[in-house]
Amino acid sequence: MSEKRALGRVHECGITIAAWSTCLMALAAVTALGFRGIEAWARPIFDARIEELRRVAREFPSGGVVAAVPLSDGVVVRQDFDAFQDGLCGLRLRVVTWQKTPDPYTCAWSLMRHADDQSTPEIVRCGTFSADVARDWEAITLLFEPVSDSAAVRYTFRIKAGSAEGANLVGVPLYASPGGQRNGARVVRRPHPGKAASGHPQVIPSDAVLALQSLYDEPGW
Amino acid sequence: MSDTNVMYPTRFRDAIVQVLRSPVFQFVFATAAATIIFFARAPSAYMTPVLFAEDWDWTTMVVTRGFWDTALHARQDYCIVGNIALVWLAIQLADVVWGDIFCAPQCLAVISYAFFGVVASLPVLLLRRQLRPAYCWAAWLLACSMPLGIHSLPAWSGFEILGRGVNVGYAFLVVAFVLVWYRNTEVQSWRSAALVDAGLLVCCATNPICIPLLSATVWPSLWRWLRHGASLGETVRNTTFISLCVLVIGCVAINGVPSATRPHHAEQPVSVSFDGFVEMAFARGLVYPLVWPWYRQLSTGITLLATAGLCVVLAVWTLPRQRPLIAAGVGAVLLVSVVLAMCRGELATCLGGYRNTFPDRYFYAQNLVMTLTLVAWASGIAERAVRLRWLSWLPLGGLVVIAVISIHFEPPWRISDSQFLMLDDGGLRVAARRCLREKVFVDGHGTRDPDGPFVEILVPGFRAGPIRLRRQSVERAMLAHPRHSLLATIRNHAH
Repeated sequence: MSEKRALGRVHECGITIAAWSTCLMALAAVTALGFRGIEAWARPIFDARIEELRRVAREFPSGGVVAAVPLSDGVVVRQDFDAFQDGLCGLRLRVVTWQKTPDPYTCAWSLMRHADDQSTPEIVRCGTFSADVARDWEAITLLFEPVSDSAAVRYTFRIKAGSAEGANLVGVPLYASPGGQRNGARVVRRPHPGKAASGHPQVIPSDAVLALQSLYDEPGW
Repeated sequence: MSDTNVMYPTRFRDAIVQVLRSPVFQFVFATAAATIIFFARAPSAYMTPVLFAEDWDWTTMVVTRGFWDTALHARQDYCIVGNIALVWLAIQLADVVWGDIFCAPQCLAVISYAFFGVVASLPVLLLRRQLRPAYCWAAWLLACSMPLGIHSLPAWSGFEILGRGVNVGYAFLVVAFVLVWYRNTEVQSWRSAALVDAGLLVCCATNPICIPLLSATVWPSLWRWLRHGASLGETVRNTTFISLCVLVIGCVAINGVPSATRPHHAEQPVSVSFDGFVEMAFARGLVYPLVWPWYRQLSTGITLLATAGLCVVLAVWTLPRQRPLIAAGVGAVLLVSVVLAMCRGELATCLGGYRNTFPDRYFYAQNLVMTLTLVAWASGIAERAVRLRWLSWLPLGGLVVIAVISIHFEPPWRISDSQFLMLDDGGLRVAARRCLREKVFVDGHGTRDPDGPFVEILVPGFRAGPIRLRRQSVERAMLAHPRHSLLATIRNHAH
């Protein structure tokens, strides 16, 4: 009788173990499926963003970052560049936000064309952007009416920062000049010491360059 | 015990039903579901895997100095046993199980999602007798949907919490809170007390703010002594009390006497204004789980009013037996807030006068503790209104509505598009291959040694410091990784 009972218990234990194994395996399978499903759903979104980051990394300066200039209180940053074809229709500028959401203040930008006769460059395009659209280490795109005859013309890109009420600023990273570039970014008006002291870098080398990319009105950019 | 008293399943279907009803299986199910939810909320840790912040340095330390040395001495100010356990587990999973040490960031991401899943699911396992099952699941749902700052885009800071090892320490406060609650209401024998106390010891050896929470574990002994007239000798001889004493001695032995110094930051602590403290402690810590959709509309006055209202409601409309718990929940949140104001005053600047919720990692645990407190309160209200059939479901409905609002305002499908991405683009693997070829071998201290057991890998443009990995692991990973896909990685990187 007791042997039967013992056998019965072994049988019941076996059933219990089998039930647990079945449930846990089913749960593991469903979890793995769910995980893979989420991955499959998120992958295209991430791939697009990764490709964008790669493109920015390819096209922007590849040297190390030497400083980042906080844009506030009328700071002016300018840099010369040569347009290499007609149809200049936009600029992409890499920005930093020190991992914060910038305050919604406005920065003005302008594009100035250098004439051949060395006279004062004239403003051909201008606009503004709100600092709070910036994402840390990503690029902001400034689009404008295409300049039809931009090929082989030297331009100056200029940003003038507005006043930020808070301490959360947008800034522009400066990169080591690749191979002694002639036209380094010029910070015309330096950051206010009070602002610069709030955790942002202050050393601004004279030959560093902005991460600036010119866009042209043609398919493919 | 006679066999007739033990119920064994005789049919497979009955056995399955028993398993599905078992608290352990429900806990495992809740953990698995929460893991998937957390992955959906912050996929960047897995999709663009990099060793984030201190995870990078801790990986080097675990590899070169071992688990215990890193867990006890990686930081000067306190131990980080829990964080290092996750990093160690990720390294073992990647290296030993997977055979590719460079998968460690992905393994760490999965382990971290699972850890947060465990934290969210603890009430399902441990608080079944304290809360009705529906309320345990409500606590789980609220923990899974706890907002992490999506409304202050692009500073959503969930990406630095979920899927990372560096910021899991904060969640140990929630674990400690649940364990203390369970200990005070359930634990009777020294065996279960020792088990729970071992968990509490890990919490204290990870997040030092858990240490003051231990004082709440004296409550049952104190209650027996004061209310039921138990003698002092009887109280001291109680096995759960003895286990508690061993726990306290263990905590002091591991952590030492808590110090107010800030070795992590050389500068003086930033003083916090009254408005800043109200924002940090009451708005961000205490009432945030209820008011977060309107967080930017808050001010000092409104926050104080909301806090006072909440405290009155919690104190008046609650079951008497739940008052100590609610007091402990609110007290724990305020305690953390005071410590933050003293040691991390700069957080008030980050919050910027109800503009941002970043950095959410500092407030996540308090919000979860407060959520649990609210769930307990709601459960008590439902218990009171049990005779009013439909009204008794109202508190549960309220909790579910809060969770639904959270999911509506912070849906995963929007989050995945808004995350801060870091990309090494296979750079670590490429740099490791180069270091292996150039024989950049070092000993445990980082000194160059041709026979050194570690490879020192510096990834240009990614992190300032190098990472040191076991030479054997790197070689195994290179062998395991097919050459054609490595070439693809190199090609991508070169582009």
